[in-house]
Amino acid sequence: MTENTRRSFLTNTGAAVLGACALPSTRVFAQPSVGGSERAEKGNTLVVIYLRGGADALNVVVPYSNPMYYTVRPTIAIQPEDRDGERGVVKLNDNYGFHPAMAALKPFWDSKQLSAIVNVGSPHPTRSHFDAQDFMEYAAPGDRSMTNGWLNRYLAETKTQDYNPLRAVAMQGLLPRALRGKYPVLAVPQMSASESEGLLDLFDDVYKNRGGVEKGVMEKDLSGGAKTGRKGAVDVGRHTIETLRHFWEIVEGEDAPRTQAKYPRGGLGRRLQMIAKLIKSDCGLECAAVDKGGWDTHQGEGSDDGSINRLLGDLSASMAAFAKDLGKHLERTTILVMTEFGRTVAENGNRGTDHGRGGCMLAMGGKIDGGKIIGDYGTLERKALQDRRDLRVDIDFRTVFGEALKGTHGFDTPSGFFPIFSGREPLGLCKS
Amino acid sequence: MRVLFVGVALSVLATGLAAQELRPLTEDEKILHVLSRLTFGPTPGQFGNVKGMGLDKWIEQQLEPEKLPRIDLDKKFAKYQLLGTTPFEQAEIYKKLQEDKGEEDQMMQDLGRFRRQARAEIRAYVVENAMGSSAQLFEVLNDFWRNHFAVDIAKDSVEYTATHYEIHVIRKMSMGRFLPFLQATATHPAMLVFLDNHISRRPPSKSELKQIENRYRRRGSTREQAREQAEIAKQRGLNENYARELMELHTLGVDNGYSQEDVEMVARAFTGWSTDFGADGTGFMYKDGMHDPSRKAVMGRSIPRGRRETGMIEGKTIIGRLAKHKNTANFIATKLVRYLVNDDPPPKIVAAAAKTFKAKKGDIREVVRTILKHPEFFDRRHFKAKFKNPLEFVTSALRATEADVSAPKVIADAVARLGMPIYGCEDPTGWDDTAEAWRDPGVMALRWRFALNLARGKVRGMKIGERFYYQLPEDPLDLMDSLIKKVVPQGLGSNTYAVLERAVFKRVQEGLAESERGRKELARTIVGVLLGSPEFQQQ
Repeated sequence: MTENTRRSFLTNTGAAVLGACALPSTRVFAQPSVGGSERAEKGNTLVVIYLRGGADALNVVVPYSNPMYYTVRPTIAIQPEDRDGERGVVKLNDNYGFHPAMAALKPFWDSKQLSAIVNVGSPHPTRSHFDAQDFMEYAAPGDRSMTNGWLNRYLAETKTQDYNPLRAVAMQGLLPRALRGKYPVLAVPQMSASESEGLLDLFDDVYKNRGGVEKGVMEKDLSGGAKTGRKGAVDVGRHTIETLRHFWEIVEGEDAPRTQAKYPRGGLGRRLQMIAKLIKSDCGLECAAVDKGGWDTHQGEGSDDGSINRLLGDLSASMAAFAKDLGKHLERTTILVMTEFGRTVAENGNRGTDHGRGGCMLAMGGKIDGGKIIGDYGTLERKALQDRRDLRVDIDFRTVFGEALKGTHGFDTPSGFFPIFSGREPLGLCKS
Repeated sequence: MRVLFVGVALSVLATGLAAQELRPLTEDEKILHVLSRLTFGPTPGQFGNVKGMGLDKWIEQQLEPEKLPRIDLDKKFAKYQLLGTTPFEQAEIYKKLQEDKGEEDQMMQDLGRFRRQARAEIRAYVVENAMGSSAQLFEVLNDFWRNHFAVDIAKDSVEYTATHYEIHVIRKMSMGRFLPFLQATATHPAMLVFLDNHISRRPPSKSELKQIENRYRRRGSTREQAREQAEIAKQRGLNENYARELMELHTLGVDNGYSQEDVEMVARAFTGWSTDFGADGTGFMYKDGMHDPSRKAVMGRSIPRGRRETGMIEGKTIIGRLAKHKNTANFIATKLVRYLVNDDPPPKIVAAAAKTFKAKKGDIREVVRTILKHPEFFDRRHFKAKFKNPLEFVTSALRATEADVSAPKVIADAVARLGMPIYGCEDPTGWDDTAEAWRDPGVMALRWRFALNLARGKVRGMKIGERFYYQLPEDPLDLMDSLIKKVVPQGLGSNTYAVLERAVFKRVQEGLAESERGRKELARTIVGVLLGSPEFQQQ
């Protein structure tokens, strides 16, 4: 949206874009060969839930048949069975089980609408939250010049002449990086529909780009900060007005869909509930993003009793309610749960774990070829670990992103969509 | 066809020229530029004051905040219980509440109240100072450093130690030298707890590992299993969080001259830098028993340790080296220039600032002086080029309207709702200092709500008083011009101006601007629109 972004974008994608900027209706990227940037499937939605802080894969998808897991985690391992009031894993197969707080998701596993991916992550060795999130959400490990998030790039690639302001939303005050970038995306503020409408009407005229020249200022002066600055502010205000009007009409208008499930109290549930309304209303929502923080469990992570228990409980109950609320619409919805990295295989001295490398993801919905654990933790013996301490990264997160876009939207990522990334062993994440 | 072509050619030419030769800022514009960057927004009378005094003199005064009159803190903050207490005293209050075993529910309520109060107080304190202090540059720099050395009050005891951190670290050091500043953050419980260093300990020694092994053997484990256990114990205890952020965020910048091994070495060197809310009051304690005594080298240089010194010398040595590293000078200079000048930091000003940082041994005041005195500081490209972050937006709105604030907590809440809770950034990176981070669609609606509610007196605890509306012209258009001058002294774009003008005409036609009450109502609406205008979002 900003000049900054725009400029970097121009340098990144070359001259083909210049024409596109002058004519907003043209495709943003170079015209692809057949089957390139087309979106074969219409009407589907990809919902991304980002667990901020680095969720501990081994206590989400538990390798309960591996004795090494219990050896390296004497106080925080999830037991194979219920025992002395301590809840055991929710068994998925002979080797893997969910954390007991995730029982609400078991039915979706059973109906083959849910898969887990383990030893997934970034090839970049960073263990910094900031970098790892940055690289992952821009889907460009190590490339700091990328300023368009991966979902934003998808939106830009597939945009058509019919502008739909609700192709993507973030249900939070500020956009997550995955949705930031050149393609304008709505971050929905928390306020009532009626209040919102009053504000939008009032500022409608103020946020127009005609006549940006200030009184008493020469035109040539405005190629400096004043023009850039004011124009950027006007653009964002203009977009806010148009999009929010549309959003409230769908969510609170006369024909708004009804909620068909009971969501847990809290931010994640409330946000998924709104997203469900958008999906059910057929407004053309293609991507939605929600954050859930608190996964940086250096201490007090615990087994079935600590912070991860609370976090996973809310995540699972919210996802299960969302799926129930969607009903048949779950068939055309993909939910992708991700985090920036996994954590150390061994627990630390504070009933917690430290930043690691390989992690896990969950994928759920009608497009998912479910009931699978994709990837393998391996023996968990030190010599088999990354840097003798972390889960290896066997699966590049970009492969998952690519298959999720393909499976949900029928979108083949063109070459260069993920910079310097070509190799991908198909994972079979989605139904073919 | 030809005419069109000539037109295009001319405009291309004009653009090319404009890029090279921007009109220099006028003297008045320079004042407005300085006021927008070195303050949390100008107050209505401030432009005149600075002009009368002379801009250079005003800047010099701001560079010496010690000599400026201070807010009457005693009166303003009389009700605040935690200000002026030490982390030790705060921990005592907290402990006492926890130990009070009488009524479980009552205890939980008291604890909850204490925690809420702690948060409310620190946020209110920051906002009150930002808004009310005459040492505005000092407050702006406090904001910068609060963000550079970010801690999040959501994390454990940081909730109540942040108050002490703000007063005794941030505010004390923000215009001093970088080295003691870095040391002060490294030894404050807020930072140590936020980045987990207080619990980072040396991996066990050989004899301790042997003991662990023996213990498992006695319990019937095989030799292999016992060895495995000892091996695991070896990995536990060390926490790299602080070490990494010390280099990545506080000094060198990300991936700027250090490796993963260096992070681990630094983490080992800082083992033992811990907390103890004991008698000495600061909350910091070096615990030699936790310290890793192994020999260390960081970034290719060994860390010497004299025989009589404790292991704490290692951390101090590292801090000393990091503080004067050239990458640190560049990193801090770049961030300061981005903050004070432009999202795209002009390389010449950065180079000059970094040079001063090195030459003046990290003297922050001198680095800032270099930036402000640099000829490019007044380049028109930087004029109004920064998008206000939520704290700047809210405080500048209150300052521009001379609002009376009876409940500063409300201001802090408003800033938080716009996405920037004070002392509440979860990332140790602090809040992003570029427009891109704050210009998300949707957030504008929240800004508009704040603008209107403030103007209409609907935000509890904030009121635009009679003083602001005193002696405004009777003629509705004059009234409008006068309010524009007060609220957006740097000027309005022609569209915003025309919209306001039309609104005023409409009121006049409808006969709504004749009574005193009608005019006041009109004035309130104008102020609300001005605060929500695109022009007001820029500084």
